[in-house]
Amino acid sequence: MNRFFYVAAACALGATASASDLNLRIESGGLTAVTVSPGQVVSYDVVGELTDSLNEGLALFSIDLGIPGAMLTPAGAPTTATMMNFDRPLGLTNPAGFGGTQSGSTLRQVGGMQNTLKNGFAPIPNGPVITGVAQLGAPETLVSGQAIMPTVHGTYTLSASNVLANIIRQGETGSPSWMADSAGLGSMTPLTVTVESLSASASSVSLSAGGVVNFTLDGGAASASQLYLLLGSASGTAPGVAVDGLTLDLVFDAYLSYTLTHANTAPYANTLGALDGVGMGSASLTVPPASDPSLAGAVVNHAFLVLNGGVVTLTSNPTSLTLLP
Amino acid sequence: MQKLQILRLALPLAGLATLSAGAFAQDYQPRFGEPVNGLTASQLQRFADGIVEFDTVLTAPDGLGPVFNDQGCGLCHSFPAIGGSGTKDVIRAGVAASGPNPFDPLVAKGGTLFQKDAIDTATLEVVPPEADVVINRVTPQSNGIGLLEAINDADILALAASPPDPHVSGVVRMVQPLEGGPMRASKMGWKGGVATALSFSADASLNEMGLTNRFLQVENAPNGDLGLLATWDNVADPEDFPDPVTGLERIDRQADFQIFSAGPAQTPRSGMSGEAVFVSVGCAACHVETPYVTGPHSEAVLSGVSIKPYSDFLIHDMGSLGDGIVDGPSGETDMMTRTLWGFGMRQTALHDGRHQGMAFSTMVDMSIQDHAGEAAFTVANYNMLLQSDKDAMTAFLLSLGRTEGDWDMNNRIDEFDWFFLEPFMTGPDTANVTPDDAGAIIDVDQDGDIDMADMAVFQRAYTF
Repeated sequence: MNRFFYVAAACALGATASASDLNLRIESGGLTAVTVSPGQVVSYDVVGELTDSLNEGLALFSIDLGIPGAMLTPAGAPTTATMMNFDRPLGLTNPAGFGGTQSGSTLRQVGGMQNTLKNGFAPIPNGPVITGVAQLGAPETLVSGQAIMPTVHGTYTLSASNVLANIIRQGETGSPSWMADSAGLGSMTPLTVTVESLSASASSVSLSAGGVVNFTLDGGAASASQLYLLLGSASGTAPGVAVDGLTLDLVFDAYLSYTLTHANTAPYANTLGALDGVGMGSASLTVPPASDPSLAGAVVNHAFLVLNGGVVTLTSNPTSLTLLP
Repeated sequence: MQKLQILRLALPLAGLATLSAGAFAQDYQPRFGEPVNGLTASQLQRFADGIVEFDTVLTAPDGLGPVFNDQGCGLCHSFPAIGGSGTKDVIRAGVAASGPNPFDPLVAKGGTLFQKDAIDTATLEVVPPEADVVINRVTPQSNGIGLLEAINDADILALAASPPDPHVSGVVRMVQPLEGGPMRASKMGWKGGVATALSFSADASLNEMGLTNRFLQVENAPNGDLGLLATWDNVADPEDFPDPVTGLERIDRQADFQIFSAGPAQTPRSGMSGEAVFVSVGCAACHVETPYVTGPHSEAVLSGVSIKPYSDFLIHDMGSLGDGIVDGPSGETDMMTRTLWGFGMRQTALHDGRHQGMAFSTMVDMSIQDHAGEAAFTVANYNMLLQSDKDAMTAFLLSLGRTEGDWDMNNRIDEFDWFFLEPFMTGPDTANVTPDDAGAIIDVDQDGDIDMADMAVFQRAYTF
């Protein structure tokens, strides 16, 4: 009998030894790429799903979350019954909690583990074990939190690193405890956040037919009621113009001088003004019909800056506009 | 139950090697009785078969006896798990050298080994009255001896050629493995003499269980009495025989278990101040602290492994600590440096197990005091230590054999361990847990904090 057991156990190795991997996807509102205003708070979810069914679900996970250039506050405590099982006191986390330990702009070791120990002696963990967590076909929102985006336009990536995950071994029933094995890291889809403060209603305009290009300015709440100035360049975006420690992504040229000296003057409207109470504003460029056809093919870029007390506090992303025949 | 647990834990070990690289920087060390990490499925099968064989209780029809010390390997090598050490001992005896007369191994009375048991009282051995050297040898641990046999002989020869301390002058005992091949440096045996796990198994099968095998086909006659042997040895030699399916004999399966069994753990793995004390007083002159990197082995998984058995595997003149028995080139006072890996989880100390049933610190102190001969300088150095340094050294020795998270050192990781360990959690990046701190036994990655990275390992190591 003993021999049979041992042999059977060893022979079963091939099947049970397969490593389940944990796929992670970080999303915001169901998307893995979003565009937001400067300084906007972005909510995110980290969704996990195991790559196979050779397990009884997630037993532990721990991830570092970071978004260089932006700021993360500790992730929220779980609110679902499933994930509360990974948080103290039902589960076990670092002393700083399920939401991670702040380390600079990184959140270290977000997550926790279920009471697979069946501990009933030490104060924590003291919960039951829920099986099937994040199993294949049943992705689970493991973590939810918020990132505070900077005011500097650009693309930011919220990603997970140092991923640790254990799974409950297939066939385990919790007697006497739940055996756990390590899971590998499968795919990791980060959340791409684009901070964009300027958008245009069109990327091209016909010189012969003419048209109006409307600009939407979004300086973020921190720029509310502040002065803005929309400028342009026909020479590209790099190198930009350094101003007050920031860079306005427009090459200084004659067109830029023109937009600077002809703010709010046709063909420009509202290129100089004050943002509203939430940091929004609008401007426009009207290209009259039968404009000079020799300009066809030219590309002009526009960007705006925000001034506060004479100091530039924000520079927007550039938008490009192609002049068509 | 213990063995069931071991197998239950062993299940995922093969799979660990297939994980995504870098998934975990550090995993837990196998406990006593568990296999080395990274075995293939077929190697795990052999390990599992080996456990069965090691745990088999032989009877006379199997070839047991007529004289023996016990009926199965696992009956002696049992603490804290199968393959470990034990308190059971065997008797060696002889007549001490006197004047021109050398040591008499009492060949006509059955040799120096006098088995304690027999298949019938008629064959029970007695120590001849003329024997004036009668000693015991306690059961050594056999875990990890596959790794020991994989140590490069050149490393042992180098230690003999250039001792780490001028007070010691050990010699290599080269032996011919029973299975053939080139001469090898001894790695096993109280006085050396055994170089491989298969030789060890064949030797022990005959001498401890009375099981003749393909290498050792001559049965031990009870007290050298061939008449008694003829009467009571009714199984044809060799009594061991190949399994019709695998072709492996008992000794092969026994060897498989020992070859693939992991060496004793050490927790913390390094950095304890007591180890520095251990080195400074000279213990490491023989119980060398520098790791060996194993050389080529027919089982590739055993090659290139860094191990710390804390032995130079040399024969040293131990003076009064010698056991008085002559064994080949090893004289009365000669003993091979015993490995110290696993020492913290042994029930006895020294070759005859003279120190047992006492506090660990007392056992350590008394064992050190008994060292003599080439080790006398170490004893003198030790006795000059501050008590705090002795305590640190004792703590270090206690770490030899402990696996991560095993607070109470019972070879299990359970909620009683967790009760004591839970308060030590610090979270990441605190870096204030030193190897001497109590919580260090759960700082698996030894990064100075106790965090979820350590918990991930603890959860997998948990046995209940």
